[in-house]
Amino acid sequence: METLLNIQKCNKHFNGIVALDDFSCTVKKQEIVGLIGPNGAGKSTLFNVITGFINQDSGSIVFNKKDISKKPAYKINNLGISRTFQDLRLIRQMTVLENVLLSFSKQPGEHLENVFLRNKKVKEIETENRKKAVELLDFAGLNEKSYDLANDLSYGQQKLLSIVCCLASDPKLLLLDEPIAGINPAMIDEIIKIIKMLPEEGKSVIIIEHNMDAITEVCGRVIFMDAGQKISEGLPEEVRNDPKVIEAYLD
Amino acid sequence: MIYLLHIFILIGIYIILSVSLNLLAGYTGILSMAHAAFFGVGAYVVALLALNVHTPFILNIFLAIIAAGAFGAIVGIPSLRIKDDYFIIATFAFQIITFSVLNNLVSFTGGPMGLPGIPQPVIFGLKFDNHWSFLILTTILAVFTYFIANRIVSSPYGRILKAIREDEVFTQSLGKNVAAFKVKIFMVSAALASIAGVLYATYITYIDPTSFTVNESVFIISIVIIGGAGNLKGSVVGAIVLVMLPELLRFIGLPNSVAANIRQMLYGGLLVVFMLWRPRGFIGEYSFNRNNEK
Ligand SMILES: Nc1ncnc2c1ncn2[C@@H]1O[C@H](COP(=O)(O)OP(=O)(O)O)[C@@H](O)[C@H]1O
Ligand SMILES: [Mg+2]
Repeated sequence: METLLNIQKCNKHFNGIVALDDFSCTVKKQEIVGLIGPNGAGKSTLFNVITGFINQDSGSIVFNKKDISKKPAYKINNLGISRTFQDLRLIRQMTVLENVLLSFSKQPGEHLENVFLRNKKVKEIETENRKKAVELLDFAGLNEKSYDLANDLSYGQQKLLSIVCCLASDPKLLLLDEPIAGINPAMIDEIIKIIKMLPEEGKSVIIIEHNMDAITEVCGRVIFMDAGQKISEGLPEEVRNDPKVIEAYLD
Repeated sequence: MIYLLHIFILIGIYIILSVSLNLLAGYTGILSMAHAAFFGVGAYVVALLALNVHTPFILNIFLAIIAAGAFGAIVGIPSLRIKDDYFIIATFAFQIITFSVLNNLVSFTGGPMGLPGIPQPVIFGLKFDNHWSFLILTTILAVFTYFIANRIVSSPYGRILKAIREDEVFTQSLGKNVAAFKVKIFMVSAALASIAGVLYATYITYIDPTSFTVNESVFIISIVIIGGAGNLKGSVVGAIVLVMLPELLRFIGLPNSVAANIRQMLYGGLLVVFMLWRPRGFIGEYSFNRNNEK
């Protein structure tokens, strides 16, 4: 399979703290890669660097044959990378449905002039998006909550909704930062089920997770990182049994 | 009767000011202290054009809108780099600078002496030279402003503004160019505020810098907060209540000089009361007092 994302020698320091240390990796099309490592290893920083929320000190990031190293966050999303946040972000004061509607990309109604000049087109696409949003929420089992405020959902449902929001823009790559941490087993199964379906839809995923069983179940390949460096990479069982990984966890 | 018409005209002007500020402060969450400056830009542009260039009213209003929109971009662009409280201080500085320029550029703006004898509006031969006709003009422009604002906030565009208010980072992660949205809504807000300035200047036919001070900005913010941030109807209610309130004081029989002082205290007191006990105003959907949200 073709390479979708290629990260080469990325470095990032936060006043003395090394968050990324010559980090390189690739993600192929329709692949699910697990990213594991102890707290503070630099996993979330890697997501922030890929998605343009933090500028790396050096290194290159090529996505879908385009250099995205220096692009702002909103452009990177428009190129086809969606993400969730470890500290779970949503618009809590909006309904579940509105959160999904907000997440569609390239809406004609996002252009100020179209609010006045092409109102018909705006309404048309809005109706279409509404249909798609309902389908997505149906698919995720959140349809009954459509008109509730995002804030009124359970924590697990909120995490699920944040993944639905990612899917709305039909990205090629999803970066999921601890999507099943802290939620109940039933919801974990629901989210795992959705993640496993993504490669068939032509999507790739990088998933940060501490839950090794879940990682083993969904990932074709796992990367273990510590102190900003890639320590080990391979099949889930290989990485799990890698002496360097065991040593790092014992430290 | 004339007195009542006068009050209604003022209400119309303040509806334009509060609705336009609500777009920025209430919907997008960018609290600006520079709204009186945009009000002033509208008033001075129309006055200077009418007095010196003798261009027609329709053209003047158009040019005032463009000038204020451009000025809005100049004030709005720092909002991309400066956050929250510091940004409020930056807009405060812009407000002070605008006042100083109006006050000190004597040869151009008349300085503290102001600009007297501003011609009343004439549109296609129609003269707006009495209270009734001016009230009609004000109503039309207030309805126009409300229509524009309402159209924006009820569109997908407005949804993004609200999202920016609630979580900028998340909104950015969804592919929205937050910076562009902020600057554009700043420009729209300023441009709409200038319409109020145009009305004010051609209604009173005399302007001086004291009408466009930071006190005026605070008054407009009070209308938005007390009426209800993030709700356009709230701004209409707020403008009606806050413009009428001091007039009611006068009815009780307070002399003008006392009423004027009480007016300021009343607004200040009301603002504090609302911030403490009803941060969402009469019918607002957003409170600047965020501790109770997160
Ligand atoms: N914005 C930031 N500013 C300063 N330090 C940061 C920032 N983000 C992360 N760090 C630091 O970088 C290191 C890696 O953090 P992070 O990427 O969040 O780790 P992980 O997600 O693997 O737990 C930590 O030491 C963290 O404190
Ligand atoms: Mg993390």
